Amino acid sequence: MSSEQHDLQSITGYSWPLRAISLLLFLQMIGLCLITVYYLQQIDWERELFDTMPSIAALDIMVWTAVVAPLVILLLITSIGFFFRRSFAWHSAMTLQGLMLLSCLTIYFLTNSDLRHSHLLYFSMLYCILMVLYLNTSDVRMAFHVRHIKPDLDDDEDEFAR
Amino acid sequence: MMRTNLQDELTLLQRFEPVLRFTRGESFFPMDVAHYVGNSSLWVQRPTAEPALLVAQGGLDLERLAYPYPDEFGTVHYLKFTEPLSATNMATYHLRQTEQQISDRAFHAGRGRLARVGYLSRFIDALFSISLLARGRVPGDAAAAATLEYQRILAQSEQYTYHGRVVRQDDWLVLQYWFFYPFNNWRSGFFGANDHEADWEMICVYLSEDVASGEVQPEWLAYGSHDYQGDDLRRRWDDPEFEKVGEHPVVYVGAGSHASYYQQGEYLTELELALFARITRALERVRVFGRTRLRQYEGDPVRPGEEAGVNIFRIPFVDYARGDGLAIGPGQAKSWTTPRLLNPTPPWVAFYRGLWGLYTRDPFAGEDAPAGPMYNRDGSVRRAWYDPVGWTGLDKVTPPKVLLERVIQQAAALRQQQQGTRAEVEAKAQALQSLGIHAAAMRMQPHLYKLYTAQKKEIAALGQELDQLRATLAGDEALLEALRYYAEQLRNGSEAEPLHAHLRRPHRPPSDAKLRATRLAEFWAAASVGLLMLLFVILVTIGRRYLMVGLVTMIALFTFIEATFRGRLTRFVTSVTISTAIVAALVLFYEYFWEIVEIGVFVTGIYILWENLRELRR
Repeated sequence: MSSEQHDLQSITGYSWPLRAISLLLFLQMIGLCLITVYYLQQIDWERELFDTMPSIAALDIMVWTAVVAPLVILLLITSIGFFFRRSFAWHSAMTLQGLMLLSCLTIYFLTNSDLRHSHLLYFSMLYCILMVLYLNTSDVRMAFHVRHIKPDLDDDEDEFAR
Repeated sequence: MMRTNLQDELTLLQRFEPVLRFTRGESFFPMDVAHYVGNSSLWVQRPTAEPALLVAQGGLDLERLAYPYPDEFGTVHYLKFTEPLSATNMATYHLRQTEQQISDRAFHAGRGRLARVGYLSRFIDALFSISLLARGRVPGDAAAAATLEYQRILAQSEQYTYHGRVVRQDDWLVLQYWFFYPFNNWRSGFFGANDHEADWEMICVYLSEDVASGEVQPEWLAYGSHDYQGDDLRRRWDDPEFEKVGEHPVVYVGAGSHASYYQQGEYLTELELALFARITRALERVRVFGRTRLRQYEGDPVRPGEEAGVNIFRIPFVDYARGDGLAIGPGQAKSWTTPRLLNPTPPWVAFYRGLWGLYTRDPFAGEDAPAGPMYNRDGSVRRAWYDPVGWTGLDKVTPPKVLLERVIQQAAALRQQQQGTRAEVEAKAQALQSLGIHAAAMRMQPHLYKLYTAQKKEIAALGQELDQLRATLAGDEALLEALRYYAEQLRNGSEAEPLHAHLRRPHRPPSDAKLRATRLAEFWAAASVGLLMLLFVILVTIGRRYLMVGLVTMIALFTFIEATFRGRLTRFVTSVTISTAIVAALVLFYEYFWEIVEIGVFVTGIYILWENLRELRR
């Protein structure tokens, strides 16, 4: 991928929505960290460590943390990508929202843990839904319109793919 | 509509007769109907009876075909060109086919049609193929029998003929070229939608005519393709998108289907099923809601053919119009013989309303033979026959030779109309003023209350009428100005509508880049639907407890693989994300229904309060 072709530095007039998304992704990352810390504090880790088998609640939190940790790192990278208007950012942000939503729905439909009954789970869902809607609005999509820069893309290829 | 007296019809037809380019492997070419009818038998199918022979093979000719055959309602008359093959004939046919393949004259399919479309289309295609077992269909050996019979006719006298018709309609002189093929082997020969005996295809050349000198100028042409009609069928004569050999337009003929195309290529033809029309409409509403209300994808470029959304409930077929086979026409390997004229309408065209080949009683009618050039299968008159100008949407276009004259005429008529309107406006304005004076005089006279009220009503009505008249006058003035400008452009010769301004969804072959696919992708396209169904059965048999999860995972995995092969991974990710967002929204709605209602009412209340208070502050 040639950075000259794919950087969107030359596009002007769309910086405001991109900066806003960058900030929203950063806030999402902070929120996820806080939620995870909150959940981790709900467990009595001293007791869990002395028990032969960890409790289901502790296992749920561990799985949650394992899933969220890479997402948090990717959210940070994507947020920086939006700030510097890198073309991968939109694609990455959509994928991350999809993964977040899938994780939330999996917890909702397939588990019966404390997470399942927490308002924070629903809040995460709501945040992701709003992000998906915003990412697909015309202002944001137009800002990533690679076709304007490179009009000879194959018609079948999505404009964000490269 | 009347016949032309100005030109010799035959000379005119031959002057613009087309060049037909076929695909390698094509077995049937345009022939004279007389030879076909002479080798066919005439049958009748009454609603509650077995098919009955009316005229045996050898006893039928065009004259006898035109005899009246009165019968009860629901009766279908049809011709039968082929008889079941004997083992010897079948062996001869296969021997010739093998010989053709060895000599590389046979047809080789390109990228598989299934690799060009999505899953649902493939699934519906599988159901369509299965339905052929239950539906009426042309017998398996019919194509072979027709090929042998046609080759026998060709061996006796090799002739390539079209049927020509000259019609005058709405200042256009229309040349219709009708091509008759003894068999359509699109399904059995080229992986297409159907097979049927007999095939009528047509192209039109539209000429404008200088009445004084009798000179004609080709302006438009239209190629008939499957059952399409309307503006997308026609192209302007100076359109570089299609080829011409001198004054002869080049037609690329679909292999087996014999549909006519402007450019060589492999066309994706999609059969839309009425069965799914409601679902398609509902999906379209959702798409429009997302685009207009939620501003989703707003501003994104709309790809050709996607203006009205994408219909996923369709069956894909490829029409191969490669033009690498036989060419017929002026200056080509084979030439046309003298055309058979359809002017005046011959009795076999006007009076034979039956089918021109086997009647299979297919409910979708795709396997039934077509009726003649003048009729549809149900006996109604074809639009292309009685309204060849309207058939391609040319009825709204004025021939260039008379265009300027018409514009001037319309401007003159409008000016005259304006004078009348102006006089009316003046009279009504005076009347309104008089009424106003009367009303003013009566205002302080209590005993005239009734009259005053009536006058006020009259004033309101007259005022409205006057408003409309003045608006009409202003509109006419703008139109007159536009007509003046248009006439000026026509005089200067600078008026030129863009070549493709009339096209909405033109049928074009996909680019070579789009057709590129690996063998693995081809294999996946052919095997995926069957594999998915087999895995479903295994899942139901051994893991019914995890049916939902398994099914979702399986479909997601298959769709992911498919998206990777088709280079649409981004679109796939976007679709999955949006789908999960919709499910999550439903979950939130379910869990927080009353809270959502409360917040909604609260926010609305605050907004109304804010708006009203803001008004008070001004």
